[in-house]
Amino acid sequence: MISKAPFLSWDGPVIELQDLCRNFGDTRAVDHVSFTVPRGSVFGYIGPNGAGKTTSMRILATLGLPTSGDALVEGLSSINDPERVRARLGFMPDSFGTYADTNCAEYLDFFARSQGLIGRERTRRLRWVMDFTGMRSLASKPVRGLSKGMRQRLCLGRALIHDPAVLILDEPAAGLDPRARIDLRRIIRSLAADNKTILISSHILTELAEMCDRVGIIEQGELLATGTFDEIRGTLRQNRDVLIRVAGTTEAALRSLATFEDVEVKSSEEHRVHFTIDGGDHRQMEVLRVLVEAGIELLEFSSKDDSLEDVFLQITDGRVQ
Amino acid sequence: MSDPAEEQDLPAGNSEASERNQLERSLGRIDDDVPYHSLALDVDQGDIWGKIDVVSRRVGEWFNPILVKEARQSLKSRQFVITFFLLLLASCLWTVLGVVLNAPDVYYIPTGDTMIYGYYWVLAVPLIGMVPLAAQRSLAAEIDDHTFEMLVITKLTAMRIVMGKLNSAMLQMLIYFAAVVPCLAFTYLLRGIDLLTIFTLITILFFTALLVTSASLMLATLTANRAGQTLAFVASIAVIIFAEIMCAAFILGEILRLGVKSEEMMFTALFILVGVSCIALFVKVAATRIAPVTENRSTGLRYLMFLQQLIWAGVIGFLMLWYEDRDVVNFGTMVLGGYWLMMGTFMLAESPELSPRVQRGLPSTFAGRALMTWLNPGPGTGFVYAVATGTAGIGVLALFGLLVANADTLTFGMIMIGYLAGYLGIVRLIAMPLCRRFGRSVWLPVGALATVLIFSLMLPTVITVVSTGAPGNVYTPIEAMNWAWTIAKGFDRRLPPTVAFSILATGGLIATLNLALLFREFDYRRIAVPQRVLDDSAAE
Ligand SMILES: Nc1ncnc2c1ncn2[C@@H]1O[C@H](COP(=O)(O)OP(=O)(O)OP(=O)(O)O)[C@@H](O)[C@H]1O
Ligand SMILES: [Mg+2]
Repeated sequence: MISKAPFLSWDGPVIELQDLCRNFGDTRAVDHVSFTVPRGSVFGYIGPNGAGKTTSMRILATLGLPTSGDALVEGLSSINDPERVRARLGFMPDSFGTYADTNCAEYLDFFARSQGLIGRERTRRLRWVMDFTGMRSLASKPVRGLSKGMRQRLCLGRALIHDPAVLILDEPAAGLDPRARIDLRRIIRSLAADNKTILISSHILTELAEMCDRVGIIEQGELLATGTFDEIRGTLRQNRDVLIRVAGTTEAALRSLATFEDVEVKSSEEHRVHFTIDGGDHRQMEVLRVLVEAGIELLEFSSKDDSLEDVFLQITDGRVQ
Repeated sequence: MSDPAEEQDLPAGNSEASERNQLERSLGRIDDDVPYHSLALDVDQGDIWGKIDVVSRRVGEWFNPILVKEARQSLKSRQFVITFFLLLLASCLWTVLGVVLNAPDVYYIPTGDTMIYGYYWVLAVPLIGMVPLAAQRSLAAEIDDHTFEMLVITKLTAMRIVMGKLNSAMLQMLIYFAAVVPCLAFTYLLRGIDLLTIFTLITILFFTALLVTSASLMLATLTANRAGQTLAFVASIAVIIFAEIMCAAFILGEILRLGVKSEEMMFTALFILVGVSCIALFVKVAATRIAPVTENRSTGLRYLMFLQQLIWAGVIGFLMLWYEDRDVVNFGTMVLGGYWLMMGTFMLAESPELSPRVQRGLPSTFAGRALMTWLNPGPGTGFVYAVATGTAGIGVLALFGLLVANADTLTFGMIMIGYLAGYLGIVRLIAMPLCRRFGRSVWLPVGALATVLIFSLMLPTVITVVSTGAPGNVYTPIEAMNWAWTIAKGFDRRLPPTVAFSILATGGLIATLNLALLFREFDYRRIAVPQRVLDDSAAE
């Protein structure tokens, strides 16, 4: 436990990718990717298949080499100081093998020993991990006989066994049932509350939205956007669709809308007008205020809030490999 | 866990409580009714068994985790259990068969010396044959199944991983051996064989098994792809068959037939000496293969090669004085020439690019740079290191040969040095552009070496055929290129000194040409360790 104090003394970004590139022949799997993750926050890494998520995570986890650039964990290079990085890192790969003739407890015990845990310290960590991942009742099951979701739990337990400050989880939710997904989300939030820094990848945005502080969207090796969900949505959707429903005729409403230069009416039916505003929340509020002040009897004023999938599709639009 | 400083002062029990709180916060439900697995519980040291548990756990902490894991696995593994019982069965069968066949004699004539032949095989087949293959499979399977990656990112060093595999193999050997011990005791009771012979037999078997196992482990780390693994498996089987034959020839043909006298003792001792250095080299190679690529993967091996040369020179010198025979020296220099040619070829596959991590550890003083640059990783330094160290070793042995012979050992040494410098130089000239074009792979220089060696065997014959119309059976100076014939001539002491000189001169010329092409590998200087790394190591 004494060794933990210096680990925490680093106050720079805990995870930092610096202009990371990795080519496989002509394929640019990772193309000049840079981002940082501060301590205690969860960074979601989102991208379609083959975007380069696994490749960059493996480099960070000291399992691959970049063509150029560097990946740092607490300021230490994964490339030049892998041992130091490994000591603070828990990595859960997207696919992993298991040992024959081994049960879950033995599997975890083996990795606890490999991480240098001895005596009471080890048994304590084993108990904690088994409880934390809900593996207690599975302890005597052979690893080879586990279902996909159980294996994910075991793998997460393995990554947590030495109480690492940084976690890299490559699609941890793949193959989990809805209940286990909720558990996972809680686990991630609880770890983040515990000052762990987490990098997590997924294709499913809704899932990440609830557990990530920030996300990065990657496609064909390029990082297209980073920020919170709202930031990404804000920067992207400068014009938004608005639909209004009025009690009377639409004539008055159309007249008011015509005073705005940036409002473009798409269609108007009996009681409905569909128009777009060239701007964000601010513009939208202004339009609403003008309509209300003009005495128009509004029954409904709704802006079509893009679902996360829409954001995703919009950002990665036209570039699907 | 909010404040780590606070937590430090608390006893373990309290931090357990805080982890518990954290659990309840995150999950809200804990299977309190399910008991923990025994591995997750501290041992209760109440009674005598508890005390034994405590002690055995404490001892267990010292073992390599891989050994602990594989011991647990093999207790459950069907293959291991079957092998063990087959072994027991085989030794029982041979005991019964031997006693029946020797039926009345058993009671009054010493028959231990015939019984031991069967037990030898009962032990040699699993020890030298199956244990190495199992060790290789176990390492190759980890690489194949991607469990290996999870292993290397733990605190286990590459060396500990390889040693763990080797330790598990040793444990298996011990268990197999334990099954045969009663039979060996029985043999001794039948008389006809002394304890020293049994002991020597066991020692040689164990060392051979260890040597073959470490070679197999090294082979398993050489390539990660399927085809390479198959090739490694085949190579291991070849090594095993060779080892079985050599071991049987020595133990059955020498030791059991003639008994253990001073000469056998000496050979056993020298075998163990050379064997240990080979085991060290194989284990080190395996460990460097699985260490991070940015690490210095060469300098340690170069030290070991030097050590191996020292041991070899000592062994050859000793044998030469024992037998007073110059052929021993020539054999020794020939092996050294081949050794450095092979090692030099492997070093040619190293990258001339040094990672910052490697550059941090380069010599920094002027003297250090002058003397130690040859130990830096890189194909150019590797070339110089192989040629220079090889030349020194061969030269010393050849000079040492003057103690028992006249100048022939010097002539022979000259051709070996010439061949080493010349062939390695040519391989480097071929491999350098190839590596630049196709990327670095150990197969390029190895392929170049094989081509050059075969080509130089055939070229003189071809030239003779073209110029005279028929292959000559007389050694002409042009045959100097043909290393096999020339070496055979050298052994027969019928090699003209002029040929030896010209081989040495040609080799020297090619090596000098190579020196001119060393480029930037010598420009590397030590770079400073980043402040962050220094801070971190200070904090440990
Ligand atoms: N070892 C390799 N050899 C050749 N190409 C590779 C290798 N590993 C990855 N690639 C290529 O790099 C690109 C990125 O792959 P990567 O596995 O990082 O994608 P990903 O974002 O993890 O995808 P997924 O969501 O499907 O897991 C792909 O085009 C892939 O084909
Ligand atoms: Mg992936």
